[in-house]
Amino acid sequence: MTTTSENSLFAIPTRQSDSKVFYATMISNASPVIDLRGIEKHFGYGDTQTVALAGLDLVIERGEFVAIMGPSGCGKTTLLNIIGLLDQPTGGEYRLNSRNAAKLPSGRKAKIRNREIGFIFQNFNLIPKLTVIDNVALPLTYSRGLNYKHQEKASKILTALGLHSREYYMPYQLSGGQMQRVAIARALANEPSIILADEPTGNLDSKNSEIIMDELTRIHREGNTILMVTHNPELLSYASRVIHMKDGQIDRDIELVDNKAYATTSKFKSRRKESRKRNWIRRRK
Amino acid sequence: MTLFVGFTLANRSLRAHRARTILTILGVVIGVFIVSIVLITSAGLHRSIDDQTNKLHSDLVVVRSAGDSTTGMEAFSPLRVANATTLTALDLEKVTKVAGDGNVAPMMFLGGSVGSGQDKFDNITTVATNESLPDILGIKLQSGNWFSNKESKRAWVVLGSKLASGLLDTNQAMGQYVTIKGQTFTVIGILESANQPISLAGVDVDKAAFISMDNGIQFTGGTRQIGQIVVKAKSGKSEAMERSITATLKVTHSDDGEFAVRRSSEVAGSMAGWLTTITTVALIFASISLLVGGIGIMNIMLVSVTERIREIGIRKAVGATKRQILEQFLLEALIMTFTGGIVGLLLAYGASYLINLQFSLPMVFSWWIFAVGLGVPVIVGLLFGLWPAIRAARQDPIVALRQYH
Repeated sequence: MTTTSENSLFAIPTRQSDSKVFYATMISNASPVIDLRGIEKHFGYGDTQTVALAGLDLVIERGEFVAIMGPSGCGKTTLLNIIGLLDQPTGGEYRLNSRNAAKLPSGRKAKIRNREIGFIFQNFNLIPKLTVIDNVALPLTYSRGLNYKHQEKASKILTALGLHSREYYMPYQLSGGQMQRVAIARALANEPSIILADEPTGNLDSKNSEIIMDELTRIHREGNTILMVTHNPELLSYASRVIHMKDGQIDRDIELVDNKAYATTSKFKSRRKESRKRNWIRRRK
Repeated sequence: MTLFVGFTLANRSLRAHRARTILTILGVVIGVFIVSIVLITSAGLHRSIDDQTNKLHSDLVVVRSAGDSTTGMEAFSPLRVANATTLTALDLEKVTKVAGDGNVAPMMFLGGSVGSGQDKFDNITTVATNESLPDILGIKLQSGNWFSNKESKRAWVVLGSKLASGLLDTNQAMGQYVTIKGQTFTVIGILESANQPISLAGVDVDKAAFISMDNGIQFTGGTRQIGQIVVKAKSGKSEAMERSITATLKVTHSDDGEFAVRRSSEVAGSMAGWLTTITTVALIFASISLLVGGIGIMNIMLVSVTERIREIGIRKAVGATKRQILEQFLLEALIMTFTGGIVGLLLAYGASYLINLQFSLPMVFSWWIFAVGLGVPVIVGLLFGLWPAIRAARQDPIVALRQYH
């Protein structure tokens, strides 16, 4: 696929005339998916206080595939938890799709976690007493109640991930790679736009890692934003951007222009700009 | 989330921990069983008292010697032991004059043994009375006849059903001889099982022997030591009858304490009062067992919350709200207590069926027994399930997910 040409098709014309530059600035002012400003997170009090995040700034646009790297204890997981609304920062401001997270009531946060965010954990975190299909349908159960259609949908997602024959297995009957695919299926159940993966391949061998990463790539290609914490430098080839963290701050922030994912991302970004521009024109009329 | 979803989630997780769920339910089952059996039995006793007073003795007036009692009510208490009598033959005549012949039966209570051949029962009450007694007390004969006043000199005896079956083969009892206090009597009748919880007769009719007054006074040296006089009043006139008998007896008995006149409804009332007291005490003890069951629920739920912290974390991560978690855990407690309630109630009715077979106590199905049997466990579930559920809902997802990492 010649993504670069497609990219230029959309991206270049926006910078050709004054008015189009104006649109472009309009768009760049448009709010990103994730917007963290001066985020701080402390644990404990007094002498035992540890700083997990020390005034971190991070902006993530829609459609990016961000890999977060860094030594253990640098705050990667804490950052992911804050982004996923599981944790609250002690300082700074976090805007998720231009909503101030600090001002969201807990029920609203739960709803956002349910509909807009999919979590993938290193240790899969499936509920051991539920079957594979029930695990996958769980987010649907919480948002839309019980319905046989949810089972159908869960089944569809599982089939896409090659787990159709394992639907009524219990999680302990699966291999690690299969469990992680089930976890991915669960993360996708409500069609969220943001996927947060905390070392998704940390417990898997290289073959299974590859399968999982291919899945994430596929999800990314469909226009979703992915944040992935990882220790494994090999996985960077899947990302469009890599963030190195150190002592609770961003050490280096690199766009991986040579990666396929980057092309996907920029293609997606420009598409979004196109559609926004059109909308804007329509509104002016 | 609809309640149905919460119910299904709760149900699933209860099934997942089957053994623990069943044991927890068992605690509630026992509690509800005890409470319900007390209620059913008490309702059955009340019902049979009502049946007896309404259907058989609504117009009965009983005169007893009151002993030392000031209220006279003690003469009718189930705990009555004193049998010394202050009623005389003169009193009987007077009462008969007031109430009319055929409506009055004296009852003289004679202790001692009753035997037949080799068998001999000690401490059997033999009642000396007249021909009107079965009609007044509403006792029916299973076979044979009651002795008439004309033949009162003959050595005839009528036996209560249990006494008869103990002494003789009831199929061939008629015409057999029994010895009462050494004297020989011919059996001329056997009573139907009376099954009367209120002892208006002053004796367990099923276990008594009945002889005529003329035979009775042979054992007392010719004096009529009348234990009580039962009087049948015209329908609705029992109160007037009670008053006129009292007035008549007051002439000869200056001391109020020497006699007591009571209507059967009053006696039933006092019996019912007794019963209510006993029921209340029994219910208090039964409630304690239900309380223990409730604490068991709470204990298990707390363990379950601790054990499932990680699961709660996962559920929150995929978007369960506090309320949804709370609902799930509360419903788990409610399902357990409600199931326990149903099973306990069913068992209680099973047991009451057995009691019914053994003691012919009526089985009462009334809405309030069901309401208590199912409502109380639900309240217990709410009370004892709420705290664990709140604890579950308040779990911080981060802490919960970090468990056992």
